[in-house]
Amino acid sequence: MEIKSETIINAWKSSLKYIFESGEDFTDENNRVCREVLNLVIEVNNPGEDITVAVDVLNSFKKWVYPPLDEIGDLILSRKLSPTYSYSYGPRLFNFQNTINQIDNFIIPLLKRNSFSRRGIVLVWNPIQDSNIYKRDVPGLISIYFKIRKKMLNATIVVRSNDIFFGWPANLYQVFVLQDYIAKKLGCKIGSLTTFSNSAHIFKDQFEDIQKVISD
Amino acid sequence: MNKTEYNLLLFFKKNPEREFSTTDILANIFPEDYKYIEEALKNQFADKQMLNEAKRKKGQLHRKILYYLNNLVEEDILKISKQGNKGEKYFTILLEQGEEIIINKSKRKIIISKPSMPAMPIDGYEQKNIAMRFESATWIDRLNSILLESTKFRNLKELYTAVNNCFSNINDVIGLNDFESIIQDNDINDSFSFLRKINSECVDYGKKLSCIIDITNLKEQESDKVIAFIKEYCDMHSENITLIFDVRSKELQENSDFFEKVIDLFINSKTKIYIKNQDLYGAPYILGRAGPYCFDESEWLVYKKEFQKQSYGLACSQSTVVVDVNRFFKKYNDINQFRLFIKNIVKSLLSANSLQRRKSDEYFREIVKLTFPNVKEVFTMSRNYIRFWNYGWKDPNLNQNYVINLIKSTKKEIDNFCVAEETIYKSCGMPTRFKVAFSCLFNGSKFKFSKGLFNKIEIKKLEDLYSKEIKEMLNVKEEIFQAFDGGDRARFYHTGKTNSKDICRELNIILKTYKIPFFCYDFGQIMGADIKLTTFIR
Repeated sequence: MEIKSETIINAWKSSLKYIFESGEDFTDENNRVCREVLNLVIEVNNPGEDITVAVDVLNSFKKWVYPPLDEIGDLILSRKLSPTYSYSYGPRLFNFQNTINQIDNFIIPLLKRNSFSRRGIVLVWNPIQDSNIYKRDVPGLISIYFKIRKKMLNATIVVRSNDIFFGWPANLYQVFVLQDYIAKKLGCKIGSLTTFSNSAHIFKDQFEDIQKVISD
Repeated sequence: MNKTEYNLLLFFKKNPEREFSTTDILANIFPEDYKYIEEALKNQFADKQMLNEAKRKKGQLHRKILYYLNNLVEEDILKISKQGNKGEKYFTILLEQGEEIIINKSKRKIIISKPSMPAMPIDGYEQKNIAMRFESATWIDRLNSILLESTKFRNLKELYTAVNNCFSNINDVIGLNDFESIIQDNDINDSFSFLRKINSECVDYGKKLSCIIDITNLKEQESDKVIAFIKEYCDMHSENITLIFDVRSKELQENSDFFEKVIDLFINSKTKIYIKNQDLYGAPYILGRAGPYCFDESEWLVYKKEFQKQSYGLACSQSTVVVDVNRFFKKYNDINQFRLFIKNIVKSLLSANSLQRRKSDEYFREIVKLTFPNVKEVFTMSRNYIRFWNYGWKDPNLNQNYVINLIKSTKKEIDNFCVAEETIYKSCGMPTRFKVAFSCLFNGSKFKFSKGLFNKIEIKKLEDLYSKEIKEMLNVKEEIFQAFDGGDRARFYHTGKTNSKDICRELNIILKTYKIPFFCYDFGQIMGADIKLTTFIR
């Protein structure tokens, strides 16, 4: 299934509605009832227009505290792993296995050299650390693919497990921050942002709140 | 403005919240000179002349940097935050949060500001003296308590340095786990000297230290050494160091000779003895100025199995908010409002943790350095604390079950909230820990809280432990221990005449009969002790 939209808020609402109406229920390993759609593609053509709106909607609920945007953004650009997180995306992108800076030393020079390149991929999933059945926390985001078309930097992310209600808005914001960082270095504009979710899901205990968002 | 002075100010501008030693500053302001000196001093092939030259240069640079640093201290731009090992000075910028300083000297201008704390949903309660941040000035940039694994340090000097360094990263207390190994494996005179030195550091820095003595690990041939150490401790009458005996009732019986000697020392010096019942609670307890701290028992079991061998230490608690329950209900008298109020505190703690996380490398530098490369494990068990003052257990006119049930049900709601927050953070690709523990607060007067109601558990003789009144009190205390997952303490005041044999029997009854994991025996008022005039009149 593919959902296309100009803005994040519309894409988010449409995806939530689609999963809510067409998803299949199962109980996950934490005993939570989960409604799932497999292999969902969501494409946002103009993510910069309303990049924070979905997060603002989540913040308007007083039941929970959504992570602050600066913390969400900081994490994707920070090179060092803070000891208080099990993992974070920044160190894996900028210092993968303490060996390679996938952004500054690969993506940026690659796209500078050949703007039509189809090799602009970075990995977040690290099999050495994550392919371990006893590990509690492993990244949801697997890879990010950058390509320049029509002088715009487009990004596609692959997410293995994606909570579309809580996680997707933060994922989009994080990748947008990174997209912006790379686009500035390349001197081009930001294009579309596409997510490919292997398991796009919502949880039953949030159905009431999800319905509020959909119907708003 | 001189170039060195300018560079110094730029250096502090980049790190307005941090504390730096003279050596740190030197390494950053004169990196090349410092590198040369360090290389020369570490060079195995360096001749005497080269070493002397490096030492001379080091001294010269230290004097130079101190000249500028001291000038900035005199101008009230910097302050000396502490004096560390060998008298080395530590400096911080003299600014409060949200304050800005403009230094304008001969065509050069520097503006240094310290970011302000965001507004928190407990600010209003603080104004009414109903809730307070514990150590508000360093609420975010220090941990409240940590536990160090004594056995990981090769000698007393290493342990002393580690404790001393950690003082700048903590607000309240450091626990030393398995401290019996330190006493048993070191020369007794070295242990005495460690005790005296560390006590004086605790006094200077206003910190507490809990030394946990696990009776299971006592070696019979070393028991004289342990007794000698305890005697030294009792004679010292330290207000900052607490010895906590981690014991099982069976061990108390099996080592009765040893315990009688120990208890004699505590009785004669009128020192409080702290006992943790290992049969009831496997994880360590430590004692700070704010109150007791402990770890979640199931998490402790995992730690013991998986990480303890390689661990140098663990963060026990991050930030603490203290609450005057009595004043809250006098003002609002509404249970739902109370639940909302506690949730607001939890939200504030969540914001505090978010700030802490982003700068944890910087704030907890010494702890990170000490525990490298297993830094991630350090924070896997830490919790935030909400401590309650005047929550009713000492008030005879209040239905105890009512208060306990309110605390228990509020705790359940808070636990659910914490799990939901962890899930949200995880789904955003930020897997982090957020837990809040409830506990009691010691010394509410420090926070200008309402006057503490004081209902003593007084024991004169063994039979008192079976009296209806004491039994009822202890049953309530048992319930409170269940509600306070962050730990509690029962305090028994021993009055009248007594001896170590009887005390041993009493301890044994408490260990076997009551579900009280942590308690202290206060010998301050036993017969023959020096009684204060006020106590005598009472």
